[in-house]
Amino acid sequence: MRFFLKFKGFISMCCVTVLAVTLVMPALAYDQAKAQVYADKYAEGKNWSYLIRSTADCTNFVSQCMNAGGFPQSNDWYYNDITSYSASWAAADELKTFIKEKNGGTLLGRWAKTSYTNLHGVKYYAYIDNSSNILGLGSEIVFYDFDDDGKMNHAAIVVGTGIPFAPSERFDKGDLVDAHTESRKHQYWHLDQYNDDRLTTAVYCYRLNV
Amino acid sequence: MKINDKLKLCIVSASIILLCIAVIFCVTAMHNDSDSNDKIFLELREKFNEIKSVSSVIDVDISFPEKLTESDKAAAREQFSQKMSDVLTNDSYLNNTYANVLERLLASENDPVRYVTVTGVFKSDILSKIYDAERNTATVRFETIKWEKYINQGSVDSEYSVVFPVNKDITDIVFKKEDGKWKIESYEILEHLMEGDYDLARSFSTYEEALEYSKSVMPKNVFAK
Repeated sequence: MRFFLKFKGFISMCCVTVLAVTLVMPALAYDQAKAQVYADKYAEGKNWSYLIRSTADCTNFVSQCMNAGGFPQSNDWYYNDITSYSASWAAADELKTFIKEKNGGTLLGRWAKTSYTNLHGVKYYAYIDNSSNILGLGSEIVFYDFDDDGKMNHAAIVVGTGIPFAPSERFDKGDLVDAHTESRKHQYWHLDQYNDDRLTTAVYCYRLNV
Repeated sequence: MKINDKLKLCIVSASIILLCIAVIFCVTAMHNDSDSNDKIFLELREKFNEIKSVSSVIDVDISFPEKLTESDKAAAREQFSQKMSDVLTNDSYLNNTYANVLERLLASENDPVRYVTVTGVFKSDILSKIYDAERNTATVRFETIKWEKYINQGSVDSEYSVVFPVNKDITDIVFKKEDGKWKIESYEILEHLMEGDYDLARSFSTYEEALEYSKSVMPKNVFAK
């Protein structure tokens, strides 16, 4: 007892340090800026180190960005080589399931045509350039369910807010994503300008639990 | 060999030949049926593409819902319903899906977003086709390249942009015979590539200018090799 009393200051400091490290470590483990930089670097190109057995590589691209940000690989989400990667690495619906069920990611919103009402009763639309919910850089993943059957068909990563790059013809500020299979760099998050199934597309956005 | 035996042999041979001819006839008839079905399936695929855009199949301009009278809205509903019944089976969930889409579009008063869409198909191919045993249902896989003219406004103060999405998708569509006519029961998107004729995209300060421009140009098939 005397020992504990003698060193109580030191022990308290140790406890505080351990607590602080525990709280701060997850934030340090994932670097959103790195994910965004990677997304911008490869949005219009291809990293040949991450080949997959499919021509559709939207989810492969998003996974690469998460990986670049330091999101930890596991048995549920991993890439070794073209012959060995998890379904969640390369398929949109599987990645959404992984983020939702294994990672504990937060669903920021689901937007369907033509309206979404937020907690304050304000209506927002999936084709509004500013989503009102998407805030982060590099830790928010957008999923697209083109026929609204509950199965995700496409994925993109949020890279910030601003004016979209070409070929967008619009110059309003909005939330922006990078995406593959077709190269998209800093385009409006809803991708409506490119999507002829926009009327039945449901858009989901998840924030990674990092 | 007796004459009777020869006669029997002749009858049996003739029967076999007739049977073969009948089989060949049936197979040919089935094949022709398939070919004529292909044409029907492709036509329905194209019509369904127009239904999906809603505004492509109705004469009422629903770009500005607040300007529509109740009579305009009723006409839009009737036209759209008629188009849907030509293409979709009575029991298809798609009737509800697109009727709801139309209702939401008609109810979008004071939306900061205006848009109008005209759509069409550049090319559509049947990749595979599976009939059920009674040949009353067919699951057909299509690869389709579609074009669109899309006018939109991101917020109430922004310009009207005219864009030309060109999408290529692979879809499984289930067709069902209803009163002897093939109609669409359901569909599922398997792959969806989103490109566009970006060279044509423009922005305008008024909706009228945007509409006029969209009518004056036609996007090219960017997937064509």
